[in-house]
Amino acid sequence: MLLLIEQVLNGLQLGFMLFLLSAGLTLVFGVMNLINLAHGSFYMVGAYVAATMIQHGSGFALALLVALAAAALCGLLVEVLVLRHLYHRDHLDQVLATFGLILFFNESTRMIWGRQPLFMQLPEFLSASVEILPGVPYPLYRLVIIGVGLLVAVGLYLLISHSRVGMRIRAGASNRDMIAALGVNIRWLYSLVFALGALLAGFAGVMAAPLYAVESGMGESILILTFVVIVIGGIGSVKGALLGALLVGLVDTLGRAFLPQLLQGLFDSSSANSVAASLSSMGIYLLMVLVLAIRPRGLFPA
Amino acid sequence: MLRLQQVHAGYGGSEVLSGVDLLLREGEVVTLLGRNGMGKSTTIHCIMGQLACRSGSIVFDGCELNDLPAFRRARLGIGWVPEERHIFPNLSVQENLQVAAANFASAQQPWTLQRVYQLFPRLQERVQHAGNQLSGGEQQMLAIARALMINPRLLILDEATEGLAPLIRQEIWRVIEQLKQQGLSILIVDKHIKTLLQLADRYYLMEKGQVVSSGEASQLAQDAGLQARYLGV
Repeated sequence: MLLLIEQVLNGLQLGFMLFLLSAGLTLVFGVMNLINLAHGSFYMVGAYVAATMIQHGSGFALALLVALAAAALCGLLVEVLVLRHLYHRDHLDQVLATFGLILFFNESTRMIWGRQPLFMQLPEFLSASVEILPGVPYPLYRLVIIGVGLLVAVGLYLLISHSRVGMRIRAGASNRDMIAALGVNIRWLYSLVFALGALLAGFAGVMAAPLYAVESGMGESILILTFVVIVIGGIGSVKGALLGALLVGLVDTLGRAFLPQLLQGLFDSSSANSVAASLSSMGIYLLMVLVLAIRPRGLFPA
Repeated sequence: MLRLQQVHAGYGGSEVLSGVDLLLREGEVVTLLGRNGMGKSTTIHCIMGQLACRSGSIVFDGCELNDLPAFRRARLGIGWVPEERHIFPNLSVQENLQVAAANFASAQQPWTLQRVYQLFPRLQERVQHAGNQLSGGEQQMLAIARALMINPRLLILDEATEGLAPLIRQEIWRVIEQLKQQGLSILIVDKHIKTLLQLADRYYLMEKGQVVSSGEASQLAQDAGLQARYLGV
């Protein structure tokens, strides 16, 4: 039971991290009809900048702010210099261009930071553990990620559903020509959405940096999970991204934690472990197939 | 206020507009007439920046529109009610109105939610309904109300009464008449020639992408020959 609680919290933590990444990606896809394979690069930029700042003695809050600004700025530059020219091109052109951007960002990080991974130290106040139940300690930092993810979800909900900018974002997602004919600068709106998406990805990168090695290419593996999340949640829907991310986080974490034990009743120990490893890495894709079979446009299509 | 000179435009290899000239003065209601496919909507798309002109000039209040993106044209004070309405389906009635709300052209009596609800009381009853939950007539009312929310000095209506029930159509005509009385300049395309010619001050008659006749609307109303020849009435 204690292990279950711990793994559920781990799943939620992964889920909220994925939400930070997928919220931006789903907005960009839904509003701008743009496939951005380079979204994971902003995650990487956030992680690298924060880790570097911390290594140079900066406080966590300042490192976070600078990393967010760097990711948003990278996003803005990419939108203005590259993607703006691709909105009227087909998706294959967008995929090729953003794949090129992945190579550019990965090579740039190698040139700036070298091939060795960076490791980001947590500040002392976040390194502690808290007792979630008597005798059950849990890392405070992972709880902070869950809390921050919740706050971002609420903030995004308020922004998208209850602000003028949010209205324009939703309107632009359904008809970009009409929103322009009402006096809205659609270029500015696209830049804003893209920079916001990059900022959220950078935020996820900062939060992930103390947990994983910060290295070139770290954005690609998590990008695949992120695409699974937005397909499950429904492309263009932030609410879908939240639910999809939590489902993927929980299925992935619980699968890896409990499948070996469950399968030990059916197979011998080594076979159970190897089958469980295969099944758990397939788990999120099976979940995606299941959701798409029932709701072909995802759980909450925009 | 609005002047088109020798406007040429088209889609792909075909030319739809072949040198359109048009003038609309402040406070006038001008109608563009012609059979289907003669270039009326294409002319409007060129004015609104939805289609680039191949040559020619479109000037609004001394400003050359061909150099401006669509949003800048709206900000100059040109409101557009497109033929397809283009209501935002995922936004409520109120949000459809608020998303447009702006006073770019600095109108002295800016349009507010309250004012448009007075004009279309039915919209007030549907405030929280999503755009795609409205009937065709309600969507048309919303499209006109939304265009007014940018406080236009020129309102362009493209087939605003197309496909509507007679009662709703009457309601739309009543509103357009009211807007005319308030001094709003209006460029209108519609198939209900009789009502249109009673409402409009002047007309332009289009045939194969060109203006073949223009003048006082009252003159055309009495010229059955011209109507029969170009409009099939």
